Amino acid sequence: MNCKTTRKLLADYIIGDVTPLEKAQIDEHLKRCLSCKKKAKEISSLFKMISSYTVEEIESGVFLEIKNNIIKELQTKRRFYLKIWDWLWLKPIRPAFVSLIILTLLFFLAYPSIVNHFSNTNNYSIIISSYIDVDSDEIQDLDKEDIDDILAVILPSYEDIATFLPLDNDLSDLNDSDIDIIYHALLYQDQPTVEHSTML
Amino acid sequence: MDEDIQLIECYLSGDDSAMAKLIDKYQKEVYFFVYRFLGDKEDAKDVTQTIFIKLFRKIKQFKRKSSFKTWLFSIAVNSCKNFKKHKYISISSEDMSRIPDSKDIQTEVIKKEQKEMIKRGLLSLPKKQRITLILRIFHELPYKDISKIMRCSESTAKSNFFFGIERLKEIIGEKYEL
Repeated sequence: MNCKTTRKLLADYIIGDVTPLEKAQIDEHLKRCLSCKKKAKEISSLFKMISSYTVEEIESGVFLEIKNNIIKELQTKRRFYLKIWDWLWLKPIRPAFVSLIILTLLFFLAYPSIVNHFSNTNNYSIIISSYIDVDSDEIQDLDKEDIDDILAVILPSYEDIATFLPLDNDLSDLNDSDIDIIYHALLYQDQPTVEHSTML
Repeated sequence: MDEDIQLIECYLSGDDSAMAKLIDKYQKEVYFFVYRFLGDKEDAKDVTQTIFIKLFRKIKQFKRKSSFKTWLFSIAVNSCKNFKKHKYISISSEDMSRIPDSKDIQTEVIKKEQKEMIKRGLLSLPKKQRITLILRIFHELPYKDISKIMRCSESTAKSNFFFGIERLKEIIGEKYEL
């Protein structure tokens, strides 16, 4: 074994954590190399000094205090989480609970479009049912094209009205203020006749 | 089954006394590691508490690929590395001026001074070398475990130890003629 390899292993050799073969090779090298022998002595003295570096004067209550603090902190949180966990994850209600969460999430995701759909349908219902004698339920069953056609008949000057509205002929975008403007414009129009109801 | 694993199983099934047993078994070792790394008793106390709290919160993540002690020390090493506050404790001139004439007490003071020197030497080492030295010398861990704790190769752990020793020898050797 050469000096370079020996010096790399010296600390482990002094600790006693080398293989028997390495130990024999280092022993042999140290017999004939004074420089490495000196290094070995230095490291050995250093280890003796280091081993005197014990942590003393720890007050007797310190470890008990550490332990109590850890247990207190963990038990408080653990009890809280365990209560919630037990309540939420009881096996029999687990599928129902998960389904409920999924449905709630889906509802909130779809909420804007649902609200929009119903509000638009209701707007059409108000306009159509105020001119034609039909149930609002029947109106709600109509698709967009039917509603468009009916409104075009009911409101003969719809095209004129549309020029004042930001609709771009898309009736699905009607909102409360649009309806107000349409009602206002309709004051100057003829009332539609009963025959128009036959379209439904 | 390993005693530590049994205690973990008990703790996971709701037995808090298992937690107390694990703390009793390892808290001194962890405390001494942290103290040697940070060099301050109060910080060591706080960090030891943090380490055990983290440990029990993450205990379900313990994969049992390494020993519980190795896993515990990897949490301890990370906590120490992340600990920002770093006080430097040194022997004040007031301490030194109190050196009395009595030979026994003088020896005590010299010993105390030596310890302080080692402490300073350790604290002046780069973190990786310091951790490796503490784990290797004071906790007698093999390179295999140290490499798992430090998430490095065994050869890296070996070179950290080698250079750490060399550097510490330079620092302490200046005063004590090693």
